[in-house]
Amino acid sequence: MSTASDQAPVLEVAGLRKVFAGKRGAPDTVAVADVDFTLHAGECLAVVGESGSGKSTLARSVLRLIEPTDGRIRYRGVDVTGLNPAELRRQRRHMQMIFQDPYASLHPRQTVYRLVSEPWRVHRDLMPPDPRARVRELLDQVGMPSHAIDAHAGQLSGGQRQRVSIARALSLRPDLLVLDEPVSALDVSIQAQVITLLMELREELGLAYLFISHDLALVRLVADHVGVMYGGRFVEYGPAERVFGNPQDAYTRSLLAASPGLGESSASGGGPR
Amino acid sequence: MTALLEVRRLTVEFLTDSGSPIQAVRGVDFAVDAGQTLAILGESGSGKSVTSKALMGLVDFPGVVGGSARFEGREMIGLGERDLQRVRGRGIGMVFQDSLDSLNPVYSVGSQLVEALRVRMGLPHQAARARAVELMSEVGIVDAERRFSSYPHQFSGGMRQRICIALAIALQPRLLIADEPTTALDVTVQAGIIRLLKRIQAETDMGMIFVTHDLAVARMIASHVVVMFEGLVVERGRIDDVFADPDHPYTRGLLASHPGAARTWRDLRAVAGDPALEREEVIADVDGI
Amino acid sequence: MAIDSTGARAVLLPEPTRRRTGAALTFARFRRSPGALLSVGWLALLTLVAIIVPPFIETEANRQDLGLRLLPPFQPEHGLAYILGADSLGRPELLQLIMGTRTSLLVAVLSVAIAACIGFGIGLVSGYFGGWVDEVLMRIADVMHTIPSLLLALAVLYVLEPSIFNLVIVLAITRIPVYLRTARAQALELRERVFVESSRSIGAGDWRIITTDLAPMVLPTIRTVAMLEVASILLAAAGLSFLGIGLQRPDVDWGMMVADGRAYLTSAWWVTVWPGLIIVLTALAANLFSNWLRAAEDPAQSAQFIRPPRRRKVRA
Repeated sequence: MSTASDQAPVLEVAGLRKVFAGKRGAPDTVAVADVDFTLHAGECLAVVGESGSGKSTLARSVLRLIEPTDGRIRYRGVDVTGLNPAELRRQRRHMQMIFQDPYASLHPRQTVYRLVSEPWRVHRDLMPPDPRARVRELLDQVGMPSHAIDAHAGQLSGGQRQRVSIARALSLRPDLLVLDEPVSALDVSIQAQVITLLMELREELGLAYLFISHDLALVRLVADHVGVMYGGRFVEYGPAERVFGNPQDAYTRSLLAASPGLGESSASGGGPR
Repeated sequence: MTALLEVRRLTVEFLTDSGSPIQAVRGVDFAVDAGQTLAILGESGSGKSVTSKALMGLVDFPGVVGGSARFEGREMIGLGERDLQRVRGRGIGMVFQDSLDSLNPVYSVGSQLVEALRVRMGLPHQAARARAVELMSEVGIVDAERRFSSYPHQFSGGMRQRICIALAIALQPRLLIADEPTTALDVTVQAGIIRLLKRIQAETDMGMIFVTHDLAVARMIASHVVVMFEGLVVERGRIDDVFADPDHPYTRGLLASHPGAARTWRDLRAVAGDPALEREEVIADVDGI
Repeated sequence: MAIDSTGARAVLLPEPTRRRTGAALTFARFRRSPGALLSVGWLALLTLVAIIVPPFIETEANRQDLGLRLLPPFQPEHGLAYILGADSLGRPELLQLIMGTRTSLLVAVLSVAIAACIGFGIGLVSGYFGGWVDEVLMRIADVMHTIPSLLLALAVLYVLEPSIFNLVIVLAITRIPVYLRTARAQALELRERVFVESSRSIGAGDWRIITTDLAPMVLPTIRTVAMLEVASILLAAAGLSFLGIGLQRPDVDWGMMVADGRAYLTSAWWVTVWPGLIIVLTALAANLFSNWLRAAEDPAQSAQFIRPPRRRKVRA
C-alpha cells in the first residue's frame, strides 16, 4: 500500500519565471517565462532548445542556483522556493546537478577522493562510516578504476571527469538529477559511454532526470517526455514519441529538420553492428 | 596532374622537459585536389587540428614538424617565415573555430577586410572598401553597407563566422582550411555556414580541408574523408563509401556511437564496451599542453 | 608505438608514458636552473647565518675599538672579524653585517607575513561577497593607498618609539593593499567559475567555498607577490633606517649601516658599500626566485624549460 508521498511527483514546477534586470536603462531580459512541468521518479524529461532559449537558466532555477523571479518549485510536495538558506541546504541533498563542462566543473586542485567525498563534509550526518570504501564503491558504479581515487582532476580525460562528477552527485543519494548538457563537451565515442552509464543508473536507482540538451538525436534516445524551449517558453511539450513523430509547433519542426542525421542512410542505421 | 596539396608522412611532436616528446601526429598521408573537399574527421587527441596548423607553418617550438607537405608542388615544411607569409592567405586560407578570437576587437569588421585587400591584394582604398562591402554581401551579411563599420562583438556567432569566411576568401586562396568552423554554432546556423562554403567552392573551384569531429557535418560538406585516431590515419576514401562500409574498427565504432544511428540508448551499449574505441583512458600523467 | 593486430582487428595501444608532474617536475626544473639554484642558495645561506651565528658574535660585533676605526678591508692580520674592515666606531663590518642580516630578514619576513595574511583574508572576502562589504573595504584600502607609506611610517614612528616591533607593524600596514587587491581580483574572477557553482549545488555555504575552493587557488599568486614584496620591504626598511627613523642602536640593520657610512663615502667606501651590496643581492635573489617559481609552475610557460635538441631534422 503506497502512501501519498510515495506517489508525489519528484518535481513539480509551476509558473516558473526568471527575469534578468537590464543594466543601465536597457530593457529586462525574460530568460524563463511561465514554465510548468511535472517529473515523476524514474522518468526522464528532456528540455531542448538552442542557445539563448533559456534552458540552462531553467535548470539552474529549478535548483535555486539562480533565484527564480516567480513561480513554485515543489520537491516531493515540499515547496523549496520559499526556504531559507539552512533549510535549502538540507533539501539540496535530494537534487543534484551534472554540469556541462567537465574541465570547469571540478575543482582543479582536488583529488578524486576529495571531490566525491566533499558532499559528506557539507552534510556531516550523511558521512558513511568508511568514506574511502564508499568512494571506491561509487567510482566502481560509474565505471572508474579504483586507483583513480588519488588522482587529481587535472590528470583525467573529459569522459573520466564526467564520471567523477556523476559519482559526486550520487554520493548524497539524490532522487533528482538535473543534467545540463552532460555530454555535449565530450567526444562522440565517449558520449555513448556516459549516456549508457546515466541511463543504467537511472534504472538501477530509480532516479528522475531533467535532461537539458540541444542535441535532438541524443534526446530521442533518452527522453520519456520532451519540452521544446524557445524564448523562455515551452512551445511544445509532451511524450517523446509524440513530439518527434508528430510535432505540432513550427519551431519544433524546423529544429527537427535542421538536426543533422547521417544523411539518407540514417534511416537504415549507420555502420554494421 | 599534381594534386593541389599532397601530404606525405607528416609528423608533429612536442618536446617537453617532463619526459619523452609527445607524438601528436605520427605519420599522416593525404591529398586534396582543386574543387575537392576533404574532411579530416577525428575526436580530441587525434591530431587533426595540429595537422591543419602544421600545413600552414603555424606550429611553433616546442612543436617539431617533420615529413612533407607539397602545396602546388612546393614543399611547405621547413619553409622560411618570409615565404610562408606569402603563401598564407593568398595560397592557403584558413578559418578557425572561434570567430571572436579570430577578429581584432578594436577595429570594425569592414576595416579589417579593407586592410587585407589593400595589403595582400594591392587594391587602392576606395576599391578595397567597395570590394569589402561586396564580400560581406556575398557571404550573406544583410545590409552590408551599414554593417561595414560594426565591430566583431556586435555580430552573432554565425554572422561573425561569415565575416571570417569573407576575410579568407577575399584573398582568393586556392585552398581553404576550415578548422571546426561550425562547432561552436547552433544547429540551424551551422547549416547556413556549410551551404555558404559549398557555394563558394563551387564558384571558385577552391580545394577545401574541413576539420571536424562531427560525422554528420562531414557528410554534408565533404566528398572525401580521412579518419584520424591517435595521430594516425586509420581510414580514408570517398565519404559515402567509408560511412556505408567502414573497414577499421575505430571508424565502425565512431559511426555506431552517433546517436542518429541508434534507436534506443541500449543500442549505444554495444558501442560503450567496444575496445576499438579505447584510447588513453589510463589515468594520464601529462602535465599541461 | 605498439600495434596489436589480431586478424581483422588492429587496435592501437599507446606507449605507456612516464612523465614527471607537479612538485617533482618543479624540483627537476629547479635542479637544472642555475639562476634558481643561486638565488635560493644565497637566501638559504643568509637565513642560516641569521639564525645560527648572532648569539655567538653579539658582544664582539658591538665592541667599539676606536683604535681600529675605519680600518680598511682585506687585512687578515686583524683577524676574520675585521676582514671587511671596520666602521666609524671601530666595530667589525662583517659581524655587523651578520647582526644586520638577522634584523633585516626578520623585519622583512614578518612584515610580509602579516600584511599577506591580512590582505589575503580581507581580499578574498571582499571579492567573493561584493556588494557593500566590498565597497567599504575597498574605500578603506583606497585611503590607505593614498597616504604615502613613507610619510605614514615617519608619523607613526615619530610618535611611537622606533623598535623592531613598531617597524614591522608600520611596514605591514602600508603594504596590505597590494595583497588585498590581488586576492580580491582573483576572488572576483573565481567566484563565477563552474566549480564554485558545483559546490553551491551540493549545499556548501559561502565560508566553505571561500576557504576550501577559492583560497587554495589564490594562494600561489599571493605567494608570488609576497616573495617579490620581500625585496621591496627590505628596501623600504633600509630606507627608513637610513633616514634615522627605523631602528636605533644597539639594533642594527643593513639600512642603518648604509646611513652610518654616508659621511665616509669617499674616504672609507667599505662602510656603506658592503651593506648596500648585500641589500641589492638579497633583493635580486628574492625577485629572481619568485619569477622563476611562477614560470616553473605555469604549464603555459613550460617551453622555456625545454633544452633545445641538437640540430637534426626529424624525418619519419
